[in-house]
Amino acid sequence: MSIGEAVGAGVFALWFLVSIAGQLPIALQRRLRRHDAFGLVPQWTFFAPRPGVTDVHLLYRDWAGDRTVGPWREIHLRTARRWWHCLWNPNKRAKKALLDMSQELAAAARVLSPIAVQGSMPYLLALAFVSRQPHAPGTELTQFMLMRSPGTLRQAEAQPVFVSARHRP
Amino acid sequence: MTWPEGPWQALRASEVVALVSVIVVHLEWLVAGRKLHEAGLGDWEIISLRYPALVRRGLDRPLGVLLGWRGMRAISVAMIIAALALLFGLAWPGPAHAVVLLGVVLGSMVFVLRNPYGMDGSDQMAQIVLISACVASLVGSEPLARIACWFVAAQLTLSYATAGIAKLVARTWRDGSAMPRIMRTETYGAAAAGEALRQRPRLALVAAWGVMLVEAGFVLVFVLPAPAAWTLMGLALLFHLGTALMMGLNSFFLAFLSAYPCLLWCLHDLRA
Repeated sequence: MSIGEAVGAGVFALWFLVSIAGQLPIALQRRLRRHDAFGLVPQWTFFAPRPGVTDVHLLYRDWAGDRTVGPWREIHLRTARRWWHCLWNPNKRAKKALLDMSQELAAAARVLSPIAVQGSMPYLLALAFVSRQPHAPGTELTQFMLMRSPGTLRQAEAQPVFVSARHRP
Repeated sequence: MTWPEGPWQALRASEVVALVSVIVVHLEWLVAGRKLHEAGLGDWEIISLRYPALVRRGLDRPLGVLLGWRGMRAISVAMIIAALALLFGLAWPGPAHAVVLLGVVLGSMVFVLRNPYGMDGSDQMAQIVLISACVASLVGSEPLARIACWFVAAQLTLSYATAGIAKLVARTWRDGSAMPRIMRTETYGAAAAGEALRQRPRLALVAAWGVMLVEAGFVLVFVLPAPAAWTLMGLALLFHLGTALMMGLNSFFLAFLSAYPCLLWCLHDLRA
């Protein structure tokens, strides 16, 4: 066996062992994923054990002064399913990005102090996203909220999962 | 006649499908990525906070140029051109092919680094296939090509086993309520299908157990007689086709399909 073959075989063997560890509900899995900047440790638990059965809604409202507040407005990223999405579905990334961001923000809010959450990546990305939306004239501060609803047919049952502080847009 | 005839042919067939997946992914990115970037969800200045080591080493400014919208657009275009060259121009296996493929692999890795949100399992499967083909062709050794095929087949089997077991331990999958609830979302579902499944709980239950048994039992392809193994693989591919049609997961179909030539060769190898 040549050196190239030995190294290649070693890489495949190690990668497969790490991949197995990446599927187990153990602390090592979380450590592996934290250091996996290139996404090489796969996560194969698609839609399980807790399937994603909710839609995420990102809303914001504008404040003009301390007491004048506008209505919550939703930023629509979701699109109705079309037959051609089985071949061509460019919007799925934005929807998945919003879902991933909201899950990470909700998780950060559970373990970090309110001030620390404001320095987290998902919070700052959500704020950047909201800041670049159209704002009412005279807006001094803006605020965002993440809500979850059990799907298209029951949006009225949406529940807030996170409400931000107020910031300059 | 058996197909694929050898590990190189299997790896090449897997690579071809994975490259088509890369082209679709990057064409989609060129269409939708700008919106994501300009809206702030892809702001590299914020995302770079996740990689303090890069910022500390003073790489934040050059990386900011490379990983800004224009830089990423250039990388996407380069990856599409490279993928087309690999599909139609460069001889396989060969040193030029291996080097260009390495470029595609590195480009994909930059994409994952750049986009902590929005990537999914299809990106990982395509990357596994491309890295396996790349390593085997860089070394240019048939024994390593065989190992690469087995690695891809093992990852495919691991993916189904993990997904199947994770569903089997979940009550909502076992009682059949998971699928109607997933299909009812706008993110992954289709309102009509969600409603149809909700009104037919027995169908939802059968569909859920069908998915779970195919996924958890997929490992049996290595021991079942050929007709049964082919049936199991057909059902798994049908499942991917279904998720593409019903859930819009187009990239999953191509990415997972790309692993099958390697699996087929491994089954021949095992029975030889």
